Amino acid sequence: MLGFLRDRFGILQSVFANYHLFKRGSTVWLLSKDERLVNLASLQVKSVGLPLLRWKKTHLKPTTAGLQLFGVYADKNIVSLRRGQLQDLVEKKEIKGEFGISPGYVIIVSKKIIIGCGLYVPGRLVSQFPRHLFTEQTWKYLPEGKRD
Amino acid sequence: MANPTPEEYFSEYAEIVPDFQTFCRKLSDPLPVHLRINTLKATVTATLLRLERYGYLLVQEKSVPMVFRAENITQPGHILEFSLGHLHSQALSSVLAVLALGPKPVDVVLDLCAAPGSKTSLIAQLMKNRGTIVANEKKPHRLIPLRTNLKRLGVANTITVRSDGQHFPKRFTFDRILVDVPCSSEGTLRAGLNGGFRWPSRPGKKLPRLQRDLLLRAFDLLKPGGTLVYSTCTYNPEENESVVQFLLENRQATVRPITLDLPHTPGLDRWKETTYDPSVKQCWRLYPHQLDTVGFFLARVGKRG
Repeated sequence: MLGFLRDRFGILQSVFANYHLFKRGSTVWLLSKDERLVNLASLQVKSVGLPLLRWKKTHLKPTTAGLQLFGVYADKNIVSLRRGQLQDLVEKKEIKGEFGISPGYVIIVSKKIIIGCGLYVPGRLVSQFPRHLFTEQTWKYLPEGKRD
Repeated sequence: MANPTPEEYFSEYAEIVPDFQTFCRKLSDPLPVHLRINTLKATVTATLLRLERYGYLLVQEKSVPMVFRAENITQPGHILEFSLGHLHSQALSSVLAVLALGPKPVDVVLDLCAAPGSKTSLIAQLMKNRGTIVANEKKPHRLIPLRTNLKRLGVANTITVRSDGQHFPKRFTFDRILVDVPCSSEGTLRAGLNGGFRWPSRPGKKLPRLQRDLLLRAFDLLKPGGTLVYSTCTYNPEENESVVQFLLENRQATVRPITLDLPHTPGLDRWKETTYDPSVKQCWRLYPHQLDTVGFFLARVGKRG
């Protein structure tokens, strides 16, 4: 599973050396490594750590939560957007353009901040952000003249 | 019946709140917005620079390096950096509860009443996403905001569990435990932006009983030599010093000093007919006219090794 993050984004497996990976349903969860965890196994556990990847029928998909935390270690398939482009992507779900990258999942960055996961198919970029990540107010709350 | 004034509502505390009239006047000021920069996902310097470029005015709180008072932000939840988990809106007093706990990256920590996760995520921040936190919440609908906040804030060292806090299984012991109990929330009473008050309901006898049961169970889950913090956002001594006194009378617990450099009032030595153990004075009472935040009570408790 970590091979996918290495091949697609260049994130080395050693970045995850201090974490356990758990698969539950279609989600791969990441939890800090702690040998004492075995003592806690009989609790009524509701969730463990952070969702890192999701299994789709034919492939793995990175989560926005995972990329926001570990995208800093990536060195490829990163798309940098201006704030106006980001707003368009959020509102219209996709924007047109060539971004000089290979098709597949990408890390979307704006003003050097990692925003989350996108999907690049030739000629367009599709938002993969969770719907609740941004609200209409998010854009209104940015002061005028500071959006780009 | 007309709503009471702060003086009337808190008249019972006139003898224990220092400078009671100033305290009552302070309640007419809206609660300040405090923002914590989440160093699991962002740096303090870069986040501050960006927010200042947006035109926001942030003032660092003395002795609390990652917490800033936002002078011109009323709805921090709408800021982009909030959505991305670089920021969290959290009362200064709530931050102090975690600082008093002092979690370390090697610890196994229990947050017994964890939702909505503000304190849990700060514990994770101080532990640098290492060690393990068990974040417990009894109510299923409160597990949702807990998990949402932990995910937004990039917390990767926390297991959420659902258990009745006062019956949490005794098979495990923890290095540090935070017991931020359900309370009457008197400390949150401040004028809203429209100038009105939201009066909390007075607690019945059930609440102190629940608080005592939660604290006792938490203490039983603490490793010898471990540290526990008991906190409430209320001024009511029956939910504060009396609960700590109950612990001292029933377990081998010691109240320890809180070594933070911030304005506070010591715990009470008596309330009505009850005299407390002298060590209870090492607890902290936080009043808004002394420290401009939610009113709080903090007790740092140790278990003899």
